[in-house]
Amino acid sequence: MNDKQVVQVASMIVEVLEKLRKNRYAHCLQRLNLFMSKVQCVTHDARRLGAALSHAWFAAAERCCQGISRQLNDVPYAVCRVENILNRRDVKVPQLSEVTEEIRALQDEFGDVEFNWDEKALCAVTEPITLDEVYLGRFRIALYIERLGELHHQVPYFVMAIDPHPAATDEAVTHPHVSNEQVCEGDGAAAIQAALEAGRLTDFFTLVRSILTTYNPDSPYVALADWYGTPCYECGYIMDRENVYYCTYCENAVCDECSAVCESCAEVVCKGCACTCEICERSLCPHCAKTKCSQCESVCCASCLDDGLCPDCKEERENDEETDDDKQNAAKKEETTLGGRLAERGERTGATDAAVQPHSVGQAPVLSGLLGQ
Amino acid sequence: MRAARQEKAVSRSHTRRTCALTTLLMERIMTMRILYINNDGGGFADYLNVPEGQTVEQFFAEQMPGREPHDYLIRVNRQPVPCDYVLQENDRVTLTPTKIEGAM
Repeated sequence: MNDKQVVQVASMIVEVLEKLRKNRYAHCLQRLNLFMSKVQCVTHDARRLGAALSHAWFAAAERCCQGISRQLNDVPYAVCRVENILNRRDVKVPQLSEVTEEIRALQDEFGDVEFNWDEKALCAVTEPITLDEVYLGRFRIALYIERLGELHHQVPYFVMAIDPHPAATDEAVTHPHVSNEQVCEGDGAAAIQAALEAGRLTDFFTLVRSILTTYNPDSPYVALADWYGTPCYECGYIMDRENVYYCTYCENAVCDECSAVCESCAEVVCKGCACTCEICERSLCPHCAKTKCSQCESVCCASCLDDGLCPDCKEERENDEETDDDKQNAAKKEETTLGGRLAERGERTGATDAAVQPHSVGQAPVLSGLLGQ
Repeated sequence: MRAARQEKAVSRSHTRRTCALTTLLMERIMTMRILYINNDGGGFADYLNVPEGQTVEQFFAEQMPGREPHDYLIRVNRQPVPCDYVLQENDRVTLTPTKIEGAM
């Protein structure tokens, strides 16, 4: 920017800061009105409380007290907001010469400073930034002059990656503390706002640069340890650290879709290592998949085996046993209907007819009824 | 005797007042006003009286005890200066931390 352009930009900034000063008073009034409305609600409830007490309506009095308690909880916050804006109301608007010097100092500090006349944005570019050996590239800090007038309602600046190296799991995160071109100011929020209100442009840009060159591992959008993500061994999906599963057997990293839990021992396995119970079709780890039906040797989980047999084999065995029993019963029945002793044992069959005497022909037992005669 | 004691008391009080005034006058003569802007934390911007001949390094040590100068961007009248730069009347001294933690 040449000298003439610097003065033009400076004059735009001074004009906007004047507008900001007016808006500050309007904002002050708005917050005061909010505070007053809270106080009015409390006053109203207090009057109702008085009326309720005069009629001895204690349930109504209790409801009034609850309402008053809720309103009073909001009052300290409303007071704090009013105080904040009142304390900043007398911020002096800088003169044109001061803002001109600020822009010149900004050019000395950053080197690469330009003004986008279409968007009316004053832009400064940082040096390439590397945090914890993760290269993030250069960033353009763009201060939109017209948005500066609405400082209390909207963020007037954006941070854009010139050569983006975003997080693998989220393209919008180009820096651990930048998402969708907006910086999360953290500890620098108050100082940034004070610098903008006072027109201290160099301070503002250096504060933002200080945030970009510092890594806070306690509160990033994406941690640097997860910056490149972890690819799933099965499908290649890029995961962050919190969503990675490791197969107990092959130790490969897999995603949620490609992992399974063994129904028998609850170990995590990848789909490559997992087996399936042939009965219930649930997942099994290689160790638990050694459980097989002793008859047909199909792979089964422990819960599907009964006496070491799968349900089909179990049923078959039961059917076979029933068939054997039936045959045995049928055979016994046949022997009974012949009405004689069995040749091997000479047993009385218990029938009313005379037993067959295989050793003595013509002999018959004497029945007890006859003996009594 | 009483009159002598009273005279002594008056003389002592007069001496004390003179000393205080002299001290104040000496301070005003020996100090100078600078604009100090500290962008650390919530920010601070106001005029301060500092002793004449004080360097930037001494000023920093006084205002930021326990802190290291290399953790700050120190500018006088918007320009970088050496640490032994002697502050002048109406100088504008700015301290901006080089490391500020952002957050989600």
